[in-house]
Amino acid sequence: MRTDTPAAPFLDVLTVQDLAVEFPVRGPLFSRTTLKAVNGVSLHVAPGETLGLVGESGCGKSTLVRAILGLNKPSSGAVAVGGRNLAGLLNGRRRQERARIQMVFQDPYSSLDPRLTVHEIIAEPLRINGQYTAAAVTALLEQVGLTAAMGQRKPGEFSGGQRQRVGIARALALKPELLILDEPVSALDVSVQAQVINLLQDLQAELGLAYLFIAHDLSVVRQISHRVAVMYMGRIVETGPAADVFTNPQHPYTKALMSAAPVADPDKAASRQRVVLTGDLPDAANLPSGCAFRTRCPQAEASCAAVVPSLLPPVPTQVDFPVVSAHQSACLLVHP
Amino acid sequence: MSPAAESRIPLLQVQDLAIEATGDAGPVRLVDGVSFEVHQDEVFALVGESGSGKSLTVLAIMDLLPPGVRVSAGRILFRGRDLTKLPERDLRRIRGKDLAMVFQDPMSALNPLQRVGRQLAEAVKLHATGLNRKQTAEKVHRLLAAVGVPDPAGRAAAYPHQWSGGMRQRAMIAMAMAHDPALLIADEPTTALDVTVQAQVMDVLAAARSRAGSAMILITHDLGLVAEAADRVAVMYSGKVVETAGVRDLFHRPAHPYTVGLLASVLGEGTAGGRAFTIPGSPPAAADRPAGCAFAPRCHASLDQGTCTTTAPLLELLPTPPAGAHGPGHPAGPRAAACHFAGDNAGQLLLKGQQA
Amino acid sequence: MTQQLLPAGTQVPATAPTDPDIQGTPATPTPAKRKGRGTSPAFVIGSAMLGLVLLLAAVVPLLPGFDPFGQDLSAAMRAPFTDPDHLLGTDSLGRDLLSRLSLASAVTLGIAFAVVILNAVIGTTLGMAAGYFGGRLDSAVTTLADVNLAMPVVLLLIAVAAVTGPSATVTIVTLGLTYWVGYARVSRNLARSLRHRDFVLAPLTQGGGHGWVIRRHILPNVFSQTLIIGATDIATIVLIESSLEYLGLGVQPPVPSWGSMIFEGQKYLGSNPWLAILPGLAMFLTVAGAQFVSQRFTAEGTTGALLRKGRTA
Repeated sequence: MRTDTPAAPFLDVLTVQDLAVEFPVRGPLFSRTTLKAVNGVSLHVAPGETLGLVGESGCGKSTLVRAILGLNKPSSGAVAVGGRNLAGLLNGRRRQERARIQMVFQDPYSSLDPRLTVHEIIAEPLRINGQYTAAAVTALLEQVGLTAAMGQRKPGEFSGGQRQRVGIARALALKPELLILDEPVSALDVSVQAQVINLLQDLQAELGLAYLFIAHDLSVVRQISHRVAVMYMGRIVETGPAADVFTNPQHPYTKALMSAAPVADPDKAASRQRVVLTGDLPDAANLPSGCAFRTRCPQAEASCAAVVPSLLPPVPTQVDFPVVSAHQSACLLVHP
Repeated sequence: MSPAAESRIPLLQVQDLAIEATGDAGPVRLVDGVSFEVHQDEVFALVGESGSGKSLTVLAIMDLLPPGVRVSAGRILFRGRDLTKLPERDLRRIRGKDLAMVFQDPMSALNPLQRVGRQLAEAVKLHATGLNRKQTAEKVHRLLAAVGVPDPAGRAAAYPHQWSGGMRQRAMIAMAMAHDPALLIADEPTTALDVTVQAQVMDVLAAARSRAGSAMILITHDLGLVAEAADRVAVMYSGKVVETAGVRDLFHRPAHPYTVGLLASVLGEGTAGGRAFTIPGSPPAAADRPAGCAFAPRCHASLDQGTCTTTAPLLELLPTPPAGAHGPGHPAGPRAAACHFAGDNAGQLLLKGQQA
Repeated sequence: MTQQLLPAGTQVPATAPTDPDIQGTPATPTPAKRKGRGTSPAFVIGSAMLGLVLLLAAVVPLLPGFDPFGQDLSAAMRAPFTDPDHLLGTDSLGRDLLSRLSLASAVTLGIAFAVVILNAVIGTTLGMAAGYFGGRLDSAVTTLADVNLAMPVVLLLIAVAAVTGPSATVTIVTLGLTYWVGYARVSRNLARSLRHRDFVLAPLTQGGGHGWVIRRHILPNVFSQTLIIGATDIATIVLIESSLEYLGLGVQPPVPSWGSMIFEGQKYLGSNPWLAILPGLAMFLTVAGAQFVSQRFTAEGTTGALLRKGRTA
């Protein structure tokens, strides 16, 4: 967790307001239901800040990211970049605003076109937007610790860590204010993970970038995040400053997540208490009533089936700096 | 043989194992003289990054090396018999019965077109010929129930894609445990799974193992998993074992600079917010390992040390730590490291280098 | 990330044993060895066969004495190599057989190439669009392809020719509109699998439109497959086209084609069999040569080099 505060966030780079994304799915026989992949998510990222988004596969992280990037249409809610709601903008203008948000993909193998040279890959966003110069590409390569000469090679000749650097350089090409990092190091070896994390921290310090850092590995999230949001079955169940969430998790799911992560210390490993969840994630097309976590929650009570808990304590609507980093959780047992 | 005497003889001995791939410019040594022992009942972790040769080593034990890759030297003694010299017929009798394996990706290890129950039944019948249909089905359901699959009879009739990742891995464990193997090899068994599911699967694995009294080789790159599950550890780097020790020794007094670096680069509470420790550089390609120690180009301990770049260090025994340094039930076992400067100093040197 | 070495052996360790990172020596490029990329005897022989036909079509017209239409009844029905003025002899009207064979080759191959190009353009465009955009367009194209396969092409061609009169254009358009399904199938599947790759997603998040993505990432990857199918298809098209020419559907006399030359020649099989044998030989050389040459590509498989490069881990 990071204690240094980012530059005063008067205007968030990214604001997601009550976003929902639904997909129609075929139910049993001829019935049709909707799968709520993202179900009323609100989050915001301030300039220079890292928001860690934690959740397991199927929790809706990827759908959320695709909606932010405009690749999925939200069924309700809004995505605002720099305080401007993208839905109200004309296509050209929306595209311009969206360029302020760029993406780094998880798989360094499938995210680079194997036919193109690394130079061409990094040049692509510049060419799309008519800003290409060879010098700009060289500068980007050097910014991520690669050399201009490496640009002439194809991705197949690079290691996973180097490829991920290429992916970062491509994302930096349009001078974004926010990078969405989708599991950027989960495909890399331990020692290489640390190299990429360090690079990301350096770039943030140097360029004042904001990160939406998505990962399932808590130690990585802890390393780089100022704030954390924990997602379960399409909803954010806990959010707050990283220091608070990691040392004092409120929601039973967060607690289980923290305790499930293995600790690289045999003594601690032997003595610590673990909350091992039973069962699997529920079917997203057929969520349990009330709290979606109750079917796996070790503390669930009868009342959990009745009410969908909301994030508490409530945050006043006025934009007020100290409030944005409130530690909230969505659990009836924590906030009866 | 009395139980005491039996436990002293290693279940599996890998001696000077070398694995080569046929390359464009002659054979390439992917695994280069690996030796270790696995004893009854213990969990032996094989740790290393991609390309260190850990997966190939266990595939060689199972005789499942991909085409073009072969064991070029060394012995693999399982209960005293050299597996590399056994005829295929005898190997088949051992594989799946005394030796079983759980793979990283349960989806690709299961046939998507066959019901899970049928695939398990096949594994059961392979080494238990006397069973009739009903008995086989009962055994399959029993196996699934033992790994915590709810409604085993119902789930067995489903296809792999109808199972979740965690449940599929349970099915794989059930299949591997079908004949109570003496040695279970788990190759990154939880890497493809979510954190909360990973914990469940590791628990299932531990329970199944202790029920059958199997030893286990756990292949992983996750040091957290090693700390939680392993009794002894071997660290591999560029085709060689560079350090082997009891799990506590390894974590508390790593002797090889690479182990020290690996442990230091684990992110956690202590490093949060600050810069993560990194080992500079990257492992050499198998085809162009440097002369001497393969880790030397990345090692701070080796700076200005001529021997590191000329002579490859051997895996040598280190002084045993004082008695009482370990908790009960954790046999210390011998410590060994392949470094000219092995010992607690090497680690400190490395860490100093990083800070400078 | 760990190597995943399943017994199925999807990944050959020789190409992926290390993961060197930054600052270190970069991974030495070890591109997967391509099987059959060398010059196999079949490839050499096939090339020679095709080369001979192309020479016939392209170089003979430059020689003095090239005249496919000039009749000379006094010199009719000469056997090959008996008349220095007519190297391959003459036909029943005394026309120079070498010249006619040359023109027939140019005409037949020209029509075949035009058909293949038309097929490839239609099939690749439809398939790529169907695979990339999916949904209704995909079902529409798939249905169209199925209908197309069920169409009796020869009967259709006879019907069209009956209305418009037979001509090279009718042949090209009819065959060009009917033999595109193979291209569509392969490019659809390739585009479908590429569509979900992150490298296709990346430009979409960076302001690029679908046109850009298709041009820059889908088409180049599909194109190599199109070439491979084209190379194997040319032989098929030559055979179909020649059968139609034999039936009198296609180019009209006096312009020769292989099919029409064989039709004319068969009347004189007893007196001068060369009239039918020589165009048949040219056709054989083309079809067999194309097959031999395209073996090299089909060994690569139509699944696409790119798909295999995709990691399985």
